[in-house]
Amino acid sequence: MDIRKRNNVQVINAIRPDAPVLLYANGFGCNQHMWRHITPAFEGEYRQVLFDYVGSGQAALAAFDAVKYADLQGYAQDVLDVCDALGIEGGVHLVGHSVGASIGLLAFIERPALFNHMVLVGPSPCFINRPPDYHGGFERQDLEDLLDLMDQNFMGWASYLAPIVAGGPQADSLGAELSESFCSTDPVAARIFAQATFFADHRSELQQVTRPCLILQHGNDALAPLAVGEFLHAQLRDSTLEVLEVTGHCAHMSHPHLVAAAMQRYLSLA
Amino acid sequence: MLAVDDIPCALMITDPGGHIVRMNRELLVLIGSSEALWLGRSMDGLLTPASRIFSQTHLFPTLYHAKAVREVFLHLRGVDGETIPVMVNAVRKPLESGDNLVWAIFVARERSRFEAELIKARAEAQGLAQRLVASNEQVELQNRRLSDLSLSDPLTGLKNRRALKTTARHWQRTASSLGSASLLMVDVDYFKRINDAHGHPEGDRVLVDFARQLQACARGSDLVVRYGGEEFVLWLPDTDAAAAARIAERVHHCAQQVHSAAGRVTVSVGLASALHQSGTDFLDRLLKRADEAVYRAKALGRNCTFVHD
Repeated sequence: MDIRKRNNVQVINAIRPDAPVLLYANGFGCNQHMWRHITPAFEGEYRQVLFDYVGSGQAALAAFDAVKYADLQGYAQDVLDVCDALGIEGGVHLVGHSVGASIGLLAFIERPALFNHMVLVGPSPCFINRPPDYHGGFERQDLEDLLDLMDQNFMGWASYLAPIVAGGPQADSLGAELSESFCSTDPVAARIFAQATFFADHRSELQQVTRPCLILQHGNDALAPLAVGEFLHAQLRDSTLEVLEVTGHCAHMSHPHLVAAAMQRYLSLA
Repeated sequence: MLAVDDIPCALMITDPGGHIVRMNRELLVLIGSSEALWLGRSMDGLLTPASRIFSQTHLFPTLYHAKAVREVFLHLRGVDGETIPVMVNAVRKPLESGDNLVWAIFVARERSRFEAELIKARAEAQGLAQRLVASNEQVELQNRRLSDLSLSDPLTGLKNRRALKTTARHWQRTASSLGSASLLMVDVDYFKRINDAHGHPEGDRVLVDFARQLQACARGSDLVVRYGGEEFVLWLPDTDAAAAARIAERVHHCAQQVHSAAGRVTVSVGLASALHQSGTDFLDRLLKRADEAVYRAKALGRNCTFVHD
């Protein structure tokens, strides 16, 4: 299958064909539309590449493989596949949000020559607490509860109830459009992605990352506590830690100007 | 005018980042707290850890993307660590203090119980369906084994008379009307002597060995059958007498590879061929003629083939 179709690859071309590449890897639960307030700040100067992981967004569900994508390595392969399909061989600045940051780092470890700088927005190499030294923010049971919560929410029900809903009165059209276009993915694929995301532990691989990384942390983030940012900063040998005075986990959506400015400062030094 | 404290539903106003601006009485009763303790704090504190993740990965991104979310299922942290299942609607509203989020929170204990039951029932149904598929496969496998058994000879593993009948009938139905089929009736010479002098186990061993040799010299389309005690049949579809004679040669050669306690094994072969016919006695007549031919081969001194004309 054509990778561009498979991963719903979108390219915003730069003025110069040899412009540096910004490759965006979104986090769990959303798709490439997350970046729509960031990309305008880099238009013209960078060749910007957006995509969806197989099984989410508008990517081809038919290509979803429950074994391959049970592991973040499978999603990292999507990143490499997208670069190959576009003939990109080097100089990529990867911008990853949340689990997208981990996926980007795994892609880097797999093929270091492809990447230049990494921008990690709200990253976490491991969501689970590993006492006594690591505070990921959650206990295992919390994450098991999350999977149950997903089952009880629209993601788990969308396809299960579809035949019944179709026969009944029209659902809230706004909700329907939203779940199709933005946050909803196939419930089975979403569950597997959630498991791969929230039970992952890639702390031991961080030392293999040799390129400069910008860690953009949220000052008050329910998903990635400050200690996680500090841990990453200590482990990634050439990293810069910047804490944004933002509450939440999606600064690139809630405060895009802060994220774009931080990226521009960092990349201009690159 | 209706005050928010009179509405029988928990209500809350937050800023776009989720910091609490206002809570109504119903919500405060639900969480067993006072508004002063919560003002300015993040609503994350109201949620269980799992709900916090869900809120940050789904609710807020959706609210940044669109104006509203509806019917999101979350868990609040109630009094004494109790978990309160709730349905949440939220809408982005410009109020006097700027852009705000207005939250309506409905306790959904009953619904949550139903859904938990449904999810459990779905998981059980999936498990049952899987078990059913697995047991169907088992039955099919056993059916195939049974059918193999009913068409096989237990000692040699060769096919039996029933298989011969089915195969010949199938050929009659599907072969060209211009074709012919041949049959070799193969009888082990002096087999009784082996049995008498060296015992039945040795006789059986010779039969098994010979069966293996016979199978090896047959072509893929041929059928090798143990017809009776030391009598074997080779069914040769789409084969005329001349081609069948060449296979009979190979059969004699194969037999010589088998050694018994009484020495080298030889066989007498009766060959019969017939043009295609659709009659029900086709096979019986072919068998009868092959049988007669074996008798003639024996009379000619054994270890040879006689072709029935």
